[in-house]
Amino acid sequence: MRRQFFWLFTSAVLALIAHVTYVLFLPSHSFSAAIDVALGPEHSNRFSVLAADAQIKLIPSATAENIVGICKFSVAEGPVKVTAQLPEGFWSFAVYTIRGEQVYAINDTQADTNTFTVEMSRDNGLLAQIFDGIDDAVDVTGDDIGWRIALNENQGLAVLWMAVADPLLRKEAEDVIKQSRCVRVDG
Amino acid sequence: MNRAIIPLVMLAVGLGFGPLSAQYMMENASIAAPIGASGWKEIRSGSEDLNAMYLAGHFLRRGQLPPPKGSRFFVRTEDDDGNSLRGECLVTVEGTFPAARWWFVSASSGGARTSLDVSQAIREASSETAVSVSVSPVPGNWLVPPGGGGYELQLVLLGSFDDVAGVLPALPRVKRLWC
Repeated sequence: MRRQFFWLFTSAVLALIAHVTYVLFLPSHSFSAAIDVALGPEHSNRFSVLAADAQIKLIPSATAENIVGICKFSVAEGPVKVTAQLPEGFWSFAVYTIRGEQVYAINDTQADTNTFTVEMSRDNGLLAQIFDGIDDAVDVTGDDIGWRIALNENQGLAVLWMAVADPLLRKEAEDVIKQSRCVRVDG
Repeated sequence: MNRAIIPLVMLAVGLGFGPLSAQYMMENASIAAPIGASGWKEIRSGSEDLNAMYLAGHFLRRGQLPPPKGSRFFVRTEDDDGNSLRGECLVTVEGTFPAARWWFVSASSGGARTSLDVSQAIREASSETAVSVSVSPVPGNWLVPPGGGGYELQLVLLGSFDDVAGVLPALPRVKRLWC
């Protein structure tokens, strides 16, 4: 009886471990692979505007008529800065971890500007935040309004989404968004 | 022999049940029960609890990014009478669409998706909107479902003005006209 209970318990523990492992790793692996296919090789820390068919596959909240720009970034070797350029209109900017957790979002009405920077860095823990002063606070430098985000993972995605009400203005809006940059901050 | 079989079976059951239960939770735990009699089900976004992990997994394992916080994502695979949505049938999605800065209706099947958004939709004088979903051309707002078989209908709201906890937005009716 005790032996059967032992194996039942072991089976339950194994099921729990397999469950958690599956939920934590397989979905993000599938998504990362889909991103790699959509963005092509050498895409880390680079901003790309997606093709219509790629964006409807990757972003369920986007249509082919929207404009979606993505930067898959890694903060393992230092902070990464996104400089966003957007035309007037309804847009949103969001930062996700590679596990799909949305850690930051802002839209046109909240930002009150169409040009801004967001710097993403690795969260070094509470003590480092206290001593280095890293936080999510607004950082105004000259004319450039910027935000800082500390992530608890090395990889993430910065996503710019814009609704284009008039298809005739799509090209013009896309040209503005293509000026956005995503680069690693040296030093 | 029996002594070896029992542990092996128990280990296999444990290893099999874990991923299967994870798949079930990702498929179902993130989707709310049908909203009233409307037949729409909401995929909850923006939750901060344990369910958020399953919600993210629901999209990520399909190679998709979860909808942003503040968006509302409704899905259904049946019309108001419980018939499956199929490409060879003419289905209308009509009524008052929710107040939102941006919405779209889309039909998806096998990874392909077609959609019609607020800027493309023609609204009637009564402020109601009717979208016809059919593979054959239909006057007015026409959405072509991908493929000829079954599809899932989605209604996505971004910048919803009804985004208040517990408040359900007005959702359109879905009727099959002919098949």
